Amino acid sequence: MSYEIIEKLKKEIEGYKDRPEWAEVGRIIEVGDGIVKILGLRNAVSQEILKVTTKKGERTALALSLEEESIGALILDDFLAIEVGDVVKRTGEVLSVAVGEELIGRVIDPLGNPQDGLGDIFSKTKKAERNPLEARAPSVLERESVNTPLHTGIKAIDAIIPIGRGQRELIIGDRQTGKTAVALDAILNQLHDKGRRRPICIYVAIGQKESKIVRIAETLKKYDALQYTIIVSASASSPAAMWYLAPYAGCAIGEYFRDKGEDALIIYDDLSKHAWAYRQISLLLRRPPGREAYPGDIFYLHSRLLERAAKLSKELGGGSLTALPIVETQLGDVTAYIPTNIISITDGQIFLESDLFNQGQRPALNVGISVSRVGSAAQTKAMKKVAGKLRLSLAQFRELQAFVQFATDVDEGTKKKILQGQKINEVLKQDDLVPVPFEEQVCVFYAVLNNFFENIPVAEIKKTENDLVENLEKFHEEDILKPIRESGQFDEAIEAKLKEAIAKFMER
Amino acid sequence: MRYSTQNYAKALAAAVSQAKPEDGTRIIKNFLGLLQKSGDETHAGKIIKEAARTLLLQDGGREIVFESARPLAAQSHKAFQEFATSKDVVTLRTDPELVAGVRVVINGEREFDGSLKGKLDKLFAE
Repeated sequence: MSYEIIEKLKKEIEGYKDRPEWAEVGRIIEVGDGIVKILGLRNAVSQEILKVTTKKGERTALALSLEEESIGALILDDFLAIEVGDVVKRTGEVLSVAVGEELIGRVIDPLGNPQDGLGDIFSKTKKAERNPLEARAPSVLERESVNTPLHTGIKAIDAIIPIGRGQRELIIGDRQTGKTAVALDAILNQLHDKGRRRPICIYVAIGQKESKIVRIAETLKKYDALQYTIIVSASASSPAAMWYLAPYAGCAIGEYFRDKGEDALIIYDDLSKHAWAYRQISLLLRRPPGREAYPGDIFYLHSRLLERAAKLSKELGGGSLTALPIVETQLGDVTAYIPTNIISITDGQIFLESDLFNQGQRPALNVGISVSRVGSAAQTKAMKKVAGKLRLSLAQFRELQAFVQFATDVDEGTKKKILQGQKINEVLKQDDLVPVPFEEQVCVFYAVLNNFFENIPVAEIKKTENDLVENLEKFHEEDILKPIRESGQFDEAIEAKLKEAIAKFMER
Repeated sequence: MRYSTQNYAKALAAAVSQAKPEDGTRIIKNFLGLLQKSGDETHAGKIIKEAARTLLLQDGGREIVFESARPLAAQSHKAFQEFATSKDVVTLRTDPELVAGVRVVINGEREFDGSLKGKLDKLFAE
């Protein structure tokens, strides 16, 4: 055995062709906390990969700060082996990640290394395509208006705060309000949204607990969603460099599918931690701190990331990258620095409130202050037909809510509106991991808005709704659900059939 | 440090190059006084070395370091001296870790690695 190994090594050595050349080198003059300062390398470019030769082998660094006399670089490997005086060489390459269909179903780190123990992702014989982590966002002419819905399967969102493919919709709320649950439901629902091209989903975990990432991967696997999902993981125990790079790596992967003419959905969970990591790196690089000690370009950190989510024009393939960034607030303060920055960048926001969550309203969406700037352009005609009336009823209910406790002292019309609003709220409540296809949502909203549930007490609305959906799935899949799903329309013929079906159901 | 080593070195090099030869001692004395005032006198050695390097580069000279695995024979010395010009400062070093061959570093910024260690590192990296 050892003879074979020796012979193999001999062949490799004999076959090795070396062409020594002059190379640009620098030397480490400062090292600590994942950051190094390098003297020399005058021609290095920003985001260039540098190789540091240490006693324990080569380490990789990323050139970030190009100063007059030195370069500030971020170590992407174990930095404990690096010492002052170590030689640094340029590679001439900017930081990039390997992309391809092979990534689907895998868990990787921001450098593209597999984290799921399932072996190499790409074949060693074929060189994988690589996308740079930093890339230019599509220009105005390269884009098209958002016109195709991305159904999340969450009734409150698809009806009132619709998301379109190519949109950026922020999910914002305090801790433990269901932000990740909303994002997960959006991923799971892509399996049920059969009327449209299924997007490739990318979940970027930034600073999350390893146990949470494992739980998410297991959930996606359980519901068959891992077959179209990629997880980019920069867990809580990974260095700040990985937290900083993770969203850009995920975006580079999403751009691969977008540029191929496919749809992709990317979730950044969460960008508050991303901002903290960038603050840490900037302070270590001795960049001047600004408000709340964040560096001056903290806005640009997120704007250049989120601008890459877009709907491309038909000339460029018509692909899209939809972004759902998540931001965690403290005590519901949406006026803090990072939340306001990202609110101004995105095309709308979904507010999740702790009070609503504690009252049992889950998902804890405050539909009054949540908004989608794309609006009904991202809705099917069927949903548009019911959503307008839904919004109006809810708005009226919110106005009248103060009178709920004095319901006996108001006129019949007001009492009816209050009851209607309470029933709509009950219908909008939804369990985790149970996304509802949009055609079923249309039918349920139609039923509640046209007073079919008039005689049902509020406490029984949920059960009635579930029974109605079961009934439609069992007996009206071909004549009602399928036409709505496939055409996206809710014409008079389908409406008549639905009316008859619901009336028959309510009579039982 | 109040100012960086590079800034101190540049200032010292500029002062020395603009001064007359008889003012050399006075310049150095003033410079050491400045370092003392700033509390940076412990870095004097580093700064003076950097200043000397700056002056060398300004004159068109180079700092050339030849590293070899074993002490070089006389013929090799001659070859390296021919590679350098009269303005260059040449240093010969022995580093057994190179195993064999020679490594040349110019101004700490450009390197030609002809050592066996370099070849082996490249081979194993591939």
